[in-house]
Amino acid sequence: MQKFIGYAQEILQGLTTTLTLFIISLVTGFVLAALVAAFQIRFRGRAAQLVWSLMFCIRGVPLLLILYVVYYGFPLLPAVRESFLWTVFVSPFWCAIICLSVVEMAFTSEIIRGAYHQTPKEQVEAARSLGLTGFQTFRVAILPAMLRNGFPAYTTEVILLCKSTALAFTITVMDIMGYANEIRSRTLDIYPPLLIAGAIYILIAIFSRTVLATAFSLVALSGRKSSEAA
Amino acid sequence: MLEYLNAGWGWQFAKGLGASLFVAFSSFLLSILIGICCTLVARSGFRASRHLVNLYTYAFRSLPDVLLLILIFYSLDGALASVLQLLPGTGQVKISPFLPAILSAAIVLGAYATEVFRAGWADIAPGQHEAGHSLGLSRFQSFGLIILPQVYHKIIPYLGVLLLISMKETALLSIVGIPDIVRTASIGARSTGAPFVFYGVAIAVFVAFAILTSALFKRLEGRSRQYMGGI
Repeated sequence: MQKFIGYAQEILQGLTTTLTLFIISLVTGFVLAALVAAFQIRFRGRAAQLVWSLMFCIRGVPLLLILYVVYYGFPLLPAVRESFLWTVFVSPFWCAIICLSVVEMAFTSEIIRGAYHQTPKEQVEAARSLGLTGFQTFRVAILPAMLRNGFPAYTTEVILLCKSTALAFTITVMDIMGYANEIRSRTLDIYPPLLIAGAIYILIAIFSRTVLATAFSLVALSGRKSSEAA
Repeated sequence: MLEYLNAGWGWQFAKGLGASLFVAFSSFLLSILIGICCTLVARSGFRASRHLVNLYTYAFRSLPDVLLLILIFYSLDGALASVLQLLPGTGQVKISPFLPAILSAAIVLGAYATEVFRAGWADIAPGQHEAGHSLGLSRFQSFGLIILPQVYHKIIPYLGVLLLISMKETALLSIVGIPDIVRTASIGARSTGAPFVFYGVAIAVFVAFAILTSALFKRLEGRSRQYMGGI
């Protein structure tokens, strides 16, 4: 029992790293995704097609490979080596954040785009015919529908991101997985450290789900009220 | 690029691709099997079985796949040995490293497949079973001939995503030392000092797989729509 508590304490040292990775890349990824999706919705045609193809490619490549390219590949570029970028790409933590944000951007932008295109056309036309401006239409008629349509997929995506942060240990970031794997290779004890780490990840997932569901119920209710008022 | 091809890297990449594809398709098929079985178990009518399936999908959709892979990879040997000790007359077995890789990927993907199948199954009218019965089909026949084709029609796009994920999942093989595409690329990048050629090839392989998969499943979807009519 003493051993377990020792392991748990050591693994929990990585909790801050895992949570920081998770939250920073979640927020950055979402902001980037919103920009990318807005670009694709606003400018249709060749440019949007190009952006979509790029996102498709990012979605098709495993995160592990992207991590390797950014962490082991980029520092070899002369342009990176001789500029301030060197300090960024030499740190595994920032490399992990960049990769996670980019992948999150690729997936979330597609969710946002899908949610936008699922909004019924009549709803937008109705808002327009009431004389609302473009932004008002978006706020009253499109955004609530987008939230409702996109919410389940986005929850899945957030949980996927939480799982993906575990891959950061492959580029020597000491997160929960990193500590668990370190204990495993040091003590040759397989089950205790990995199961403790797994339990922590599941707890983080449960917590994120609860937070998201609560946030969604608040926003969705207020959305319904304002659309009823309109 | 050609000089690397001549130096034997082409063959290495081909072997890596073979390993990745083998693991991807095995875990894909296994996960579909898990998905169908879990859906049947969840719909069997016992409340406990439904909760069990829920627990399985919830846990393995939240657990990092790399954690499960490492867990299974390092413990399967010992677990298998201790099981075999109970049976007299069996010698030492050495399991291939592919087995834990396929197993862990299938368990994780199985959780997703279960969700997909359950969603596809959910809106099939219960009368369909009875209709099959009244036509004189056995339970198994009505399952295979009536229910499954409809579920398949509904979930084709998700199956495509599942296949793509199972291919992406094979990148994890490099962590436990199986020479897949990613490992071949990173060994090549390190030993030749031309990282972008090698990583570029690996990325191209995955992107090509993604394009092929999405084209294939779009075709399957179109064919199924023709076949099923406007359901």
